[in-house]
Amino acid sequence: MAHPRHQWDDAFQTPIRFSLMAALGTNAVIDFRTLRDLLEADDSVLSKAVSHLEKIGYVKVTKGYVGNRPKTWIGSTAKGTRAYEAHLRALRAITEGAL
Amino acid sequence: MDSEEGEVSTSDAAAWLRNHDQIQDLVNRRVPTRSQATLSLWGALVLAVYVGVFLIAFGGRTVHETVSNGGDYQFSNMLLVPLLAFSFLVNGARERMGIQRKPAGRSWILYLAIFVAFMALGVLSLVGVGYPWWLNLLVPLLLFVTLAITPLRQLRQSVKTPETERWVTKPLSRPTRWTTAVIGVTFGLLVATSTSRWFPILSIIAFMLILGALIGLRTRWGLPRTGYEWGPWQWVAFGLATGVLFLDVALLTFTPWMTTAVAIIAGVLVAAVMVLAALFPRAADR
Repeated sequence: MAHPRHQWDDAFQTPIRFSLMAALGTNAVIDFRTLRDLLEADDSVLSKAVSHLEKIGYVKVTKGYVGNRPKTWIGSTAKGTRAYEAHLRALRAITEGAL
Repeated sequence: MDSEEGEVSTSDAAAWLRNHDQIQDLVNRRVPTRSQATLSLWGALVLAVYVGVFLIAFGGRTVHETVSNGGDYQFSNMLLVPLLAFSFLVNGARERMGIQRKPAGRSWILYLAIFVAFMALGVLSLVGVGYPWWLNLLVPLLLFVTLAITPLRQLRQSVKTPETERWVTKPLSRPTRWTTAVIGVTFGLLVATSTSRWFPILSIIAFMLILGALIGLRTRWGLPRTGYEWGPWQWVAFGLATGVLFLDVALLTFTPWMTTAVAIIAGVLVAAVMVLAALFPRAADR
């Protein structure tokens, strides 16, 4: 079985992408504005992070509507959740001195 | 916390994990809100009552028995119309929330099992195969317990609803006032005509209205926008109106109490409650 440190995922190397996945957890779906306020990030920075994670299939973006105003919802996919959990395991292994 | 691949120090890893915990804590302090839990509980009740009334009114008997007993499948529109309206309204109300929780995987299996049970009882009735009457009560009860258990637990956790997401009754926009009033008048007409020969036509018109609402889902008068704007007053009024429709079906199926006069009075009350909910509060009442 591979050592957990090999499960370190480059997709979560930037703080914004890591924080985004931390916020989504396993079952939260968060709208873009709430996520931006929660992570204290700029629209453009968050947007880039979401696009990157969406491109590799880690998050799913859906559009909701309030009347004719669109609202963007972001949730983690099963693949994204698995990857993030593996990444957390790798971090824990490092902190426990497993390297 | 920048780090080279494969060169993460213990302190860096600890910092990443602390960041993870802090953000999770931030999210957990915001959800589930009491508004979200109340909305889910309300949905559980409406769906369970719908299934219960449907099975009690039409289940366990053959099509012939149902029709000859004074019941009629056309009354099923009196159950379906408010249920469909409710689902669109709730979708709009959910848009108020900044964070939503997806049901866990095992919940979906339970929902599917109960849905299959509901469909199975419906098919048994259609093909004339009898089954114990208590199954008509058991299925909606199981459905309610399954759907309500999580929101009830969430209500006990009592996370304070953020100011921006709090449900307060505010003056509605003009399109939402109109949509609310149209819902009330439609429901009222369904009840008022439920004993008359005009009912089948009204029932079809009401169903067409719901289908028409699908076209306007993203408009300012659409049902999701209406649900988004509704406050507690409007939801209570809608609950009362839906309750009368469901009760009407049960009374029409099992009792002779639903006379023309009773139906008209009940229909007028339903329409009046929803129209009042549409009109008040006025902007100056705040």
